[in-house]
Amino acid sequence: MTVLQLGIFALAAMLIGQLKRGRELALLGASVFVVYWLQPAQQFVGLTFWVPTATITLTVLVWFLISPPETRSLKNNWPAALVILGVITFFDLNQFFGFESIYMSTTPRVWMLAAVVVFYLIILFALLAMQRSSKILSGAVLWGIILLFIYLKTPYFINNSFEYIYTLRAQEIPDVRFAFSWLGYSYVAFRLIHTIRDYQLGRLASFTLSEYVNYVIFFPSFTAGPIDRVEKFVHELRNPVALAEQDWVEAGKRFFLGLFKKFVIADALALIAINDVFVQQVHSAGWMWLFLYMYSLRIYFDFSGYTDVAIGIARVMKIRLPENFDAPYLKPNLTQFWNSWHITLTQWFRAYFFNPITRALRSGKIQWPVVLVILFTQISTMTLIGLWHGISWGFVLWGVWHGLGLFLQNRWSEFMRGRMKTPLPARGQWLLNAIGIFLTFNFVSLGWLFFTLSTPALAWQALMKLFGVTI
Amino acid sequence: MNQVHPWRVLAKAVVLYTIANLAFAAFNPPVGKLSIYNELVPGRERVPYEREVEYYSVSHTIPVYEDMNAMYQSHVLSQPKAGNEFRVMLLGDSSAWGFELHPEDTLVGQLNALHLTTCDGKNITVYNAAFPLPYVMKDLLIMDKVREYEPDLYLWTITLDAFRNRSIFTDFFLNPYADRVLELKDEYEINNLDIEDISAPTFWDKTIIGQRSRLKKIISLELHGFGWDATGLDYLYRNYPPLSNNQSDSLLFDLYTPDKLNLDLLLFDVLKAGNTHAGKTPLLIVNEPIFIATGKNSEIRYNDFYPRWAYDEYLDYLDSLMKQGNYHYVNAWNVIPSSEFTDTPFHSTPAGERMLAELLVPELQQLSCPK
Repeated sequence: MTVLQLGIFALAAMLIGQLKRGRELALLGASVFVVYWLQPAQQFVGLTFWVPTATITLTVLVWFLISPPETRSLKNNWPAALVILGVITFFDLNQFFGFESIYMSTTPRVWMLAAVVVFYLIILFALLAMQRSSKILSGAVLWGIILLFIYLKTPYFINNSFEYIYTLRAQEIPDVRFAFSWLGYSYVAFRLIHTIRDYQLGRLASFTLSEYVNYVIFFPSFTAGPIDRVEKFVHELRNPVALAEQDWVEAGKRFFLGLFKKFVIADALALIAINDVFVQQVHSAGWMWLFLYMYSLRIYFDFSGYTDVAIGIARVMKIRLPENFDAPYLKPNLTQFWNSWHITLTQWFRAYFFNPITRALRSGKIQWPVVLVILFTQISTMTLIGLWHGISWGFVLWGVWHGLGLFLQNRWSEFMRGRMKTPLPARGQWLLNAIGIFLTFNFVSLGWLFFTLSTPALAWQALMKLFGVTI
Repeated sequence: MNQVHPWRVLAKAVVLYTIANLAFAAFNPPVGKLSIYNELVPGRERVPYEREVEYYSVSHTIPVYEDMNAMYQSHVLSQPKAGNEFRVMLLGDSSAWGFELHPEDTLVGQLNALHLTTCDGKNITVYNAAFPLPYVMKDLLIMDKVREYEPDLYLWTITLDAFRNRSIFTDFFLNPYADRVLELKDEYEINNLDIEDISAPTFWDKTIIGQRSRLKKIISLELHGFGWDATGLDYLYRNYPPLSNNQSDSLLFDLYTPDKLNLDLLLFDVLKAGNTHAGKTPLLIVNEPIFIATGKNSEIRYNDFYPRWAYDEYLDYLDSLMKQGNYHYVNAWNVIPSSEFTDTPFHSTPAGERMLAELLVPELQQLSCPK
């Protein structure tokens, strides 16, 4: 996203936030618009329209699935349906305006829109006829979302699919690595899974179409989080509290601080952050450490900058997004680091994977040793978090690195608990804290090698160079 | 606790930002003079340049032609001159800059490796001030700039291609210095310089907003200094196919046919201007070596760039001009064998550069001796 786009977001948010009536629908229109607006151009032109359409459609389908019949009624939801279809139709009007560079890189053809409308109508009647969604259907959709996630994150599948399409079209396959971007799917999928799981567990409230779609594709947090919880989000959507002057100051501060972190600090650090080129060209361990630390800082400022911008923009629409970062590099151990780095993602995994799997292992027929349960749950959770970023060996190793780190830290804490009878004096505690911060920061930084370098072999080469070994 | 009023904060921010922009435009601070090069990291041995944006981070560089302060402040030549140093500034195009060559293999590197001294014992140090564009007006502008670094001699490599008027180069290289270009044009009566489209920056162009691209590039160049220091690389060395000895049968030079080329339309006045602009500092002009094909159609063309008729005409014209003006001149057009060229008919191998360097030694030593 560019500064200009974020500036437009902020202005739109200020306007929407001030609406006395129709705030929810205006937000819905803006969010649907943004899903299309931000979608990058694709190898096959039509996908630039179909991918955002699929995001919206999937969201609407899941809403049907998780909503009781009385909530799904057309009477309650026709304005939202009209806004969604209206915005999609609006993109077709582009053929008369020719504003490709402004709001969409390609104009969808009329038949595409007609297909969408017909599809929506069919689904609408089918689902309206359904009294209550079955657990089997919701389970199938849940696994469908997960499988689609795996498919999108695996370059092998994407490449083969593109090659297949070229073959079907009897066209020559270009000698390039295919890039396919489904903008926002990583976050959309997590919001959808969260609501489907809560629905399956019988703890999900009901929401109107407008509320639910707003939650899933809320434009400030659509591409980079944070991942809010649906109940909290909808509560704030339904009960807007007038902004005091201090709220405006807070929102402005977060927005501009975020822009500064992302576009000044992070983008500058990107030039001196470790990458494949540096690993191949640099031979001095000192420079390697410097570039590694610069990467650590860069990824923090980049990501937390976006979060600040999202929180600031949401705030002026009277919605408080959850915090995603809390000075993670100043934490004295890895557990605290993960409680303060991408907080909403960690909480999501804790709620929907770590806790259930721990419970299952502890209460299962086979009595696993506690140590083994901790080792397995830590490594599997962190590996899944790694795979969420993309399916590659680098992300697996990054996840395993952190999983092992958390396990070792857990064991160390357990070991020390029995031995530290008296608390340390203040200076000793300070020193221990400083050593902890230093070790944690370096552990996390070394882990970034697996995360950012293109192959595990390069990460290994970098690791060796950092310790003065050239291979 | 004091209450903070958002609209007042916003109003103050807007006022301060406006003042900062206006002050920046009014005083035009030499931002490019602030540099970590030669302080925190070593200076570059040639000006920052890379053809393709995607390789800036691979070659740890970014061209900043909009700001010659930044360009030369990142260069070793901005270091203070040593007492026993005799400074030679090399001006020219990509062959002088050294495409496909490591700094030590370029003409400058080869000359410095010879450890030349003047007859009064000063060390002759050659600096690569060339910017890789074949355009003599750009060389004159650079000569004008590097005068502040106390040169004792200018070494200017030229070729026929560099004398053409080219609006594309005017657009991006001369435009940021439009005022100075117009002054030089008037001062030296360079009447055939085609700069119709040149336009001096407006007041608004000089604000921080107007200069944001230049400022971003300067900051990037400074940050690339760390990569340059860590890797010693300032160029992406590419694989290239060998030059073909066979040529087409075209008689065209650029868009000129034999009956159309009028050498008076080319920018030879810039050479005269350079000679005058150098003042008391000696100027040695070198007609740079070119690839001379020996295969098919080589009786028609020397290479991809030059048909024989055009280049021969140029050689005669240049010789007579040099004689008339009593210039210090070395015609090196055919001193490098065709086997020593790399990716273009102007770029040579380290061995080729060495040959040229050795050819220039007597002239350099003669010109460096006080009369």
